[in-house]
Amino acid sequence: MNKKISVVLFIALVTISLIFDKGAAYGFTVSPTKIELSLASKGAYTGAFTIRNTEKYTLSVSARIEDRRKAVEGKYAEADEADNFDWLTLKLPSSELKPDEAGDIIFSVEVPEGAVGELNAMIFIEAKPKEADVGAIGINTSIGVPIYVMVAGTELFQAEIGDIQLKSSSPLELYVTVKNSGNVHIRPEGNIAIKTKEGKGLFKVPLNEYSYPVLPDSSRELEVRSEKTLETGEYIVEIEMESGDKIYKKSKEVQVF
Amino acid sequence: MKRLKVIAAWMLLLFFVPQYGFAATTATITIMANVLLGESSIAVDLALVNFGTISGSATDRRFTAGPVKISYFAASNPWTIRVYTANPGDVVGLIGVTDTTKSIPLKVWCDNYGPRLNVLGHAPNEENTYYWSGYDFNNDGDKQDVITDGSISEVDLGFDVNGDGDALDTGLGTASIPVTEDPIWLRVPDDGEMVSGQPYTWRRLAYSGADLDSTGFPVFFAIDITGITPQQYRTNNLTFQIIHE
Repeated sequence: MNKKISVVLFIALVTISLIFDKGAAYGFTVSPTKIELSLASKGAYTGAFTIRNTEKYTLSVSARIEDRRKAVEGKYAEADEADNFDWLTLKLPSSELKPDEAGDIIFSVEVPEGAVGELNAMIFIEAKPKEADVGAIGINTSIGVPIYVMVAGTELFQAEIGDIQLKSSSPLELYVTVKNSGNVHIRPEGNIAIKTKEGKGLFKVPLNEYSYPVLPDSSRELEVRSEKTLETGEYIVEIEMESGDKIYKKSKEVQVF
Repeated sequence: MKRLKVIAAWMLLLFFVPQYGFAATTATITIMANVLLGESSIAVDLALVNFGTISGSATDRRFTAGPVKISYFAASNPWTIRVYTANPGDVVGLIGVTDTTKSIPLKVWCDNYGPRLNVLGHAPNEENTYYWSGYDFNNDGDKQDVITDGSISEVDLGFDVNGDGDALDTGLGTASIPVTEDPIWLRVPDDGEMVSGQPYTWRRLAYSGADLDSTGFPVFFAIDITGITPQQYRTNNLTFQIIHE
């Protein structure tokens, strides 16, 4: 540590108010947790999320929509419940929830004429203690619920297995990149076979065990973890993946040092 | 005709299977709705977490706060609990109250980053440079490896790797207790940095397959005040979020 930095450190007297101590818990619940629809062009659907204040403080509640149809420079458009989007609207029952109180957030979907593929959004419902607004210091809690609306008859399922990376051999950790070049989200599943260099099967581990989605026109690294281990040597990683009604295969030789 | 029969069969199925809902408006041409029922929850225990008024020195420049206890229930897979700030202008960390152009990066730790709290008995020592910045144990030019060959010697390295309070242990980094090279105090991003469907842009605390105690797992925060402008810093929007996909 050089002298210049030491001097700066000694005069650094700061107050860090990260979290306001309220000495109690707060939280909420949301149901349902995932919505997948298939609607024709101009089709509509209205549903509700039930939110419930499970603790003893009155909550300030808000909601916002992340429209995931197309990213611009890696970001998706957002709107709060007052703005909404042309195909998806939200209506909050109240901006407050008293202890043990429940309410319904109404959502309405309307598929624009000519839409193809999938309408896709994440709805974030957020809550924090009402009193925290006054103190201007606080923690937010939030629950994110996806809405996928496939436009019936226009779906294109198309995937590709990309890079396969061996992150760790003990315990086994692999990253498998899956590219979705279709126009609806996919939840690829399958198996990864670990073989010796000579092709003798050692063991298999599931691919995407928890069904993570890959959004249209994007790639995602699917993480594969197992308690299995690989000793020093050369191996073949063989992937068989199912998505839509297609089977995809790819293998890669890896070396453990 | 066959297609219509299939659609009709689906509609009947949806009406009679409890986990499915159906709420079409009168003008709809709804074909299929898969609504996953079940209540997800998230709650935060706010008991006494504050950095307070602090001053640093050359050997005591980093500070921790916590724990915040997060309890949750995930009604469907896949799910992730992530933490982020939602600051104006996507500023990362804590923002100065007097001079809002100044900020302090905020770090976070939970059991999934290792070593576990029940092993350490306390949050990881924030002054330990390895915990803060990671360490290239095998000298291969990165901090991404997991060491399992027992080659780590605290005596040779001169610092405490396993967090037991001394720097005397040898033979660390085994198959049963691997040692990772990457840091365990991890940066809290701002929401402006996060991208949907790209978890590497998030700061995940727990997720499907990497669960933590749903009745309340502890989360700690840390800052390094080296060279920062003395004033009050805070964020109004530290968010704990459970997200379904």
